[in-house]
Amino acid sequence: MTARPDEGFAAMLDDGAPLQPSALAEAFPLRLDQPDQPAIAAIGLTRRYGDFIAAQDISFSVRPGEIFGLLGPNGAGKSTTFRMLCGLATPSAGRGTVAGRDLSVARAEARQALGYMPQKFSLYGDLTVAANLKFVAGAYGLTGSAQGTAIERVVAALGLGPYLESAAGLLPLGVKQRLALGAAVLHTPPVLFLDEPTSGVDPLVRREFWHHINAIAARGTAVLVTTHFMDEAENCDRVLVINRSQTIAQGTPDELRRSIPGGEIAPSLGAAFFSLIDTQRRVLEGAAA
Amino acid sequence: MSRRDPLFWRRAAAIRAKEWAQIWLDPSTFGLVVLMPLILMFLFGSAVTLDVHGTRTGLIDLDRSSASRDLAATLSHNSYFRIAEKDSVAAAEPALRSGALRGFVVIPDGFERDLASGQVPAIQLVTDGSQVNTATLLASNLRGTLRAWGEARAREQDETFRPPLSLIARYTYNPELESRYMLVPGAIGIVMAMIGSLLTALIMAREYERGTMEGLLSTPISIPGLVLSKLLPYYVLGLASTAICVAVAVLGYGLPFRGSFLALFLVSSAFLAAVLGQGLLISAGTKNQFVSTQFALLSGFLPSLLLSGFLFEIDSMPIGIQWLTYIVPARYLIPPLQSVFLVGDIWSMFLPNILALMGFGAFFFLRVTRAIKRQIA
Repeated sequence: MTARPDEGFAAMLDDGAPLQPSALAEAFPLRLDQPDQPAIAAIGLTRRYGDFIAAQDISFSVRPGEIFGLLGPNGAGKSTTFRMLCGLATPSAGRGTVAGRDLSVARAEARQALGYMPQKFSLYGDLTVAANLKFVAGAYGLTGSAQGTAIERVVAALGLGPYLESAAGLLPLGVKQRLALGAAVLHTPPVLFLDEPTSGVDPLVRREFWHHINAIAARGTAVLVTTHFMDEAENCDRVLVINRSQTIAQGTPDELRRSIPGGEIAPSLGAAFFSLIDTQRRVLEGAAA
Repeated sequence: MSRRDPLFWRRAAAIRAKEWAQIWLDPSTFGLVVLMPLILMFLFGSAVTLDVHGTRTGLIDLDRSSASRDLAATLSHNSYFRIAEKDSVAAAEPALRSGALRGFVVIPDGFERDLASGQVPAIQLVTDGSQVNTATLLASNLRGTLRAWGEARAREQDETFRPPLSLIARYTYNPELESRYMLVPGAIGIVMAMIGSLLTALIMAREYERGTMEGLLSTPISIPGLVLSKLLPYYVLGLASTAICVAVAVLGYGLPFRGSFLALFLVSSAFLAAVLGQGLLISAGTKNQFVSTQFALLSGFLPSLLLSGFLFEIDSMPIGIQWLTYIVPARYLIPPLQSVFLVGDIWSMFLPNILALMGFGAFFFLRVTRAIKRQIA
């Protein structure tokens, strides 16, 4: 868990200035005492909408401190899987647990244990940054001085100070994303769900984000992240590749590069990804023929 | 949701605070809560009236005797009529056609002579039958005035004259028989129905339209908790609107207030639970602010206006329509409201109505939570 294969990604984005240690992560309690207890578990998650199967028999588990990527094209089923795991959709079959809580039994407790950053900005555009943070903190049960401390910490770590009294809807995209990340980690959850956290932001913000995500994971928080950026997937400890609602591969980025047919090693995760998708297509077409 | 959530009240408080912050930032809420009741109360109270005063009436005196002049003067002094003298029927008819007159009265030639000889002269009234209410009221007002005039005249000539029968009518609770007394409490019901359903019609739809519902649903609060927390601020606003309406009724229109504030508070709270729930269900169902507003107006305002007994008495509706009135919440509000103003507290009548309204509230609340649950099912 300590050595992270992010040298390539970090180097690519590095503008030379070393990053300060993440102040966002420091508030997270160390949660590495139960490394074998899965922080997130998907057990045969399936979601059907009528005849359409949006996700079929998806299984994986994420350990505390692990960054787990869901990689796949749009509409592949990663969002559906994601939504089932944060209680926004109910599985047709299978079940999911977050921090040991079954989502179908203890939905509120499971949600309390997770921080969620949706793909689409879903805070209140008419309210100020401060009001939004206050609301989210309260919704997760933080009040009084604990709330004040949490908000101050997030504001300082993400540089939101100058925007506190601005309406959230008028912020530049990068600041909006920082606010959304800040809102997701106010209650220092043991599980963090990030749905395409860096889509549409510039490389500097992406670097900053991954710096925080890596540091938070290092404290023992499990991070589930969806992405279609190959370099971001490269930064994950393990990746699940989803296409056409099914799992087509699962493993570390290294394992995925080695898993392509023909015994070769793909030059990049991107190359491995396309090769895997291609193989699936051929298998499916062969089965149909 | 199966276990008690120890942080429930904190989460609920956070949602309420957020809702208040948004209300505060949105000037249209102020318009809805303060200006709309003022405007509607003014309209309903002054413009919508079932009383007929100063009906434009023509008078053609073909007799030109002292008796006919006396009758004409009596009519002119009566506030029900605004008399315009015409020379002939031919001159009055075009005015009736154009709407300048609502009707005209003809005193026939030989009126005084017939009276003196003990015959009963006939006075003719021609009214505009296309304005049914005005025409009927004009006829009955004229009938009453003529009878009074006849009796007064008989007494003048014969001190011992006694009318054969007399009716002493006491219009309890509304001695001046002002339709305003009945209309204003009803108008409060209509205004509350409209504001209540409009207030909440917007709030869920807004969350869906702006994509914030996702974030709200991913927080740990339970769905019933979410719905109740969102409702509460609008309930307070609804009560504020009600208070404005009541103030206008008492201070502006001089209505008595013979019941208690407790009764008013309980009845309007139960009613708000029903209409706020209705608006919320519409909002969660349409997920679109515009459609939601249209729906709220159609389903909240129109039935309340037509089927609540406000304009048309329920007892005189066809039986099928009478059944339909049972699903209109305003039907259960307006009679208690009228009592609170004009009669006093009649708990035996209030309680069934309050229970019915709370039933509506519970029904809508369950439907809303189910509708939202289905979306994450």
